Amino acid sequence: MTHAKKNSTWALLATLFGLLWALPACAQQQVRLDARLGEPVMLAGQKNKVYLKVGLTGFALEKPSARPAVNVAIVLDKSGSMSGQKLMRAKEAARMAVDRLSPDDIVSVISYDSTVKVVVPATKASDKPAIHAGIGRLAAGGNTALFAGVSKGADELRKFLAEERVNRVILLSDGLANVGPSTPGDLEGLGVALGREGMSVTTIGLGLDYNEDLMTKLAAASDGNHVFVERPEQLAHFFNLEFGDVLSVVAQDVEVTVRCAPGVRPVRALGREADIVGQEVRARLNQLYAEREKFVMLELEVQPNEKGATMPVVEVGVTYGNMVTGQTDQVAAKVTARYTDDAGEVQRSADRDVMVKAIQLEATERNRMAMLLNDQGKRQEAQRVLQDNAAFLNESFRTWNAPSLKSLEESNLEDSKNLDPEDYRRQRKQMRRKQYMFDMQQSY
Amino acid sequence: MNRRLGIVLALLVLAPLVALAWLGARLQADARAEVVAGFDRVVDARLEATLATIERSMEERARALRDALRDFPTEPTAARARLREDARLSDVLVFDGERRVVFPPPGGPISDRERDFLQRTRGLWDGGAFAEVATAEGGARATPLGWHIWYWGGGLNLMYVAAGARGGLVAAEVDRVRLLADLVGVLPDTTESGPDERVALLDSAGRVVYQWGRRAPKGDEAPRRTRALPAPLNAWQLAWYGAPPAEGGDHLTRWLGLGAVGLALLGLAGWFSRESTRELRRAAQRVSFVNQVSHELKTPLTNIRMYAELLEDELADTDDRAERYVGIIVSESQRLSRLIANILSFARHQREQLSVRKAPAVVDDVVRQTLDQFAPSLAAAGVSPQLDLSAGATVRVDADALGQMLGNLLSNVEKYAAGRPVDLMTRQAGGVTTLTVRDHGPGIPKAARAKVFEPFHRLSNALSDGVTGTGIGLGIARELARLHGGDLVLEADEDGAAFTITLQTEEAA
Repeated sequence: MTHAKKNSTWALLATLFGLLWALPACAQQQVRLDARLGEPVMLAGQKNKVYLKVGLTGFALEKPSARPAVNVAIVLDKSGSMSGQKLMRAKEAARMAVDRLSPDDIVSVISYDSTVKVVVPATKASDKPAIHAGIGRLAAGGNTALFAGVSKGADELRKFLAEERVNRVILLSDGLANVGPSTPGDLEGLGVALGREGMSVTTIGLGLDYNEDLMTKLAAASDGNHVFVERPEQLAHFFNLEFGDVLSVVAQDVEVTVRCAPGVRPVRALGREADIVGQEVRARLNQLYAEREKFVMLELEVQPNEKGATMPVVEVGVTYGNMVTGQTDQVAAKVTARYTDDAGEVQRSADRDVMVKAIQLEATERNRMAMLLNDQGKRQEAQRVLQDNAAFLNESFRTWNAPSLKSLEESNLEDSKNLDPEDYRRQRKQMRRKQYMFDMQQSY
Repeated sequence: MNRRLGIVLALLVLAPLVALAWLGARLQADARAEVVAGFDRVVDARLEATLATIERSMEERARALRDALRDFPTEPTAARARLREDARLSDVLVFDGERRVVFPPPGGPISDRERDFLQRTRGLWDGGAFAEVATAEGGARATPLGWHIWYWGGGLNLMYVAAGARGGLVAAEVDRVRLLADLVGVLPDTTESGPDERVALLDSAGRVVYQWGRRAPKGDEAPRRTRALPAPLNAWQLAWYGAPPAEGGDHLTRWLGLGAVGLALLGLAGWFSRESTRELRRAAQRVSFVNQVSHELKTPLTNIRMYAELLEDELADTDDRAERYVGIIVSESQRLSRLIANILSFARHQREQLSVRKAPAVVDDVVRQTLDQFAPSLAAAGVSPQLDLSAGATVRVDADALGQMLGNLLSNVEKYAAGRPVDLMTRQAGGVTTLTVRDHGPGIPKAARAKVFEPFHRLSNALSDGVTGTGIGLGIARELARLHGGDLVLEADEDGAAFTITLQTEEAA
């Protein structure tokens, strides 16, 4: 009894301590770390599986002019298939995006077909007419040397690569890479390499002919954004959103370390990639955007504990480059769990936000599985998986009363109706795009 | 005649033109070869510069890796921390002094990524290339520090091996994709103003890894130059596509020059041709004039002859002197008649209108008549005819033409073999009549035999020889014989000259 009480007091103190630490951090332009369990109260006397969400929210920029400078390479596909409306809209969107940059920002424009052209070498965005003129000269023709285009874009970024800048490649492609390394695996490797250098790649897939696997892997590996733009006239809108993200980066090079307490085993990471070594999990986020949350979701296995005990589960440490102060900052948190034999209490105390996000990721995982089945020609099975997924989401929606789960249910049903070959090409891109949004917590 | 002139003139124009064109082409080909060789040298130099860039980039990478691997920790936590911090490194194998892998720890807890890495490099450490080093350690072989290549997955993979702590090794994998991306970074991009070329970086399977240059090679275009990359990437190569600059404007100049020379030559040939036709026309006019005059002379001469012969008959046995004078008039007018007949025959022959009109006649009679006509002049020249005639049948023959032939032969005898006898022999057999006239004069030199029948040819043109003639008699005689289906030939004879006329003489019906 005394032992249990002692434990609970300790837990209370820890929570308070965590709150005290987190609150002023927010006020002082610090990233807010919010690590929570899906079920902070677990059933005693049995093994539990529990979700851990490590949420990171970028602080608000005090004024727009305080934003960090950006270093952007716009890489445009100008292969033959881009001719006409597509290239015209792409140029228009790129010009408009450039207009949003300040004179201290750096921009380069790279075009590729069978070969690569550095249309505008990395330069301060002060001479906008010259940049516009460079973009205006693009004409369509040739093949798709996507790998080379992104590599050259990265090389332009390297000229001004700095921790205090937001270093981003924005790739627009409407076709299959067919010159140079061209598999999704190759491009994922490129994404990883660039991510490690502190660059992220956003991939914009235009029309129905690009390879969505390649484009999402490239983006995910470097923690960029990905979007499926079906019609050229939507390009400007999405360029705008992308630049909105780029211009609101407040933290970069975010390293998340989760150390599990004895008796707790990390099972897997949902959505984002994470390295699991023994009791330790490491994940890397390239950047955080102002006032928006990104998170790492883990599934943990917790050994049985006795009723009433409050036990430490994980310690979370985060280091990141603060783009406003230029410092490397750290935040940390400890997460504990309490054990009860009352199943109702477990239910009541469950964290709705964590549970809903976890359910979204689980459903995304199943959506991916259905896609794999349909890719293998097992349409019936794929359909069943999607319908089951919808049913699971419906049930979860009723449990948690979260509209996002309802819309996810509808989108899974929609997916299940569009698996026949003529609809699937478009639907598959839509599915990849949605999966990506949930996995990477993309804002648009 | 005219056609031959045409051919000669054409040759005159074409031969220098062809020679000039050939020479020009040769010169141009030589110049072109020089240009092409120079062009290839420039291309090679550019490729060398690109290779040097790649080599430098690889050296920089090696230096960076050496720095990054210096004091690389063997303890897993520290090793992982180092890998996280240092973006130059992706995956690293650490070997202890016994060449056993100590990181990633094969026994300890490792991440999925580390497990994959151990798996795919198994060939290197588990009894593979690096283990070999271990067994060779005691022997002569040195530790292979530096680049190490192995093939796995999609092609060539690179490891950089550095010395580790306590006699160990540290091998850092260089991610292929990362390497490619960096190479793309240091290699040129395509520029509008660049040369018309395409340079492709090909991997060990010949696939394009990266390419630049505004030329778009055709599907089957073979690279003009290739170069292997420097170690450790020597399984890769640079392929250069392009063509030497086109020949351009001097092509046109060459043809224009040739054209000018051709035109000049054509002008010259035209001038020659006009001059020569003018000459020919003038000659023809002269011949025609002579012809006309001969015609005009013929009629009065015939009258002179007729009346002289009448007078000769009247004066017979009256006045020796008068008879002798008239005889001379008669013989000279006969000579003049023959001359005119020859000229007219020659003119006809020139116009290709010479023909014979066969009529029944006796060859021997014609021979006797002709001899009668020649009798005074032969007597004057001291030539005595000796006859052996046996062509007495009446056959179809042009008596005038036969007389003309024989006359021409006899007139030659009279001129060249004076003071000697002349043998005349006729024979007839099987529709063929032969008439041979053999003199016993100086004969005809062998070298001149072929030419005696050519018009205007005379064995001696010297007026001082005292020999008269036009040089057309034998030619006319042979032509007339041939029109009779026969011939006139000069017999090979030691003593004097012997001509034989052969005639096709059908029996008169």
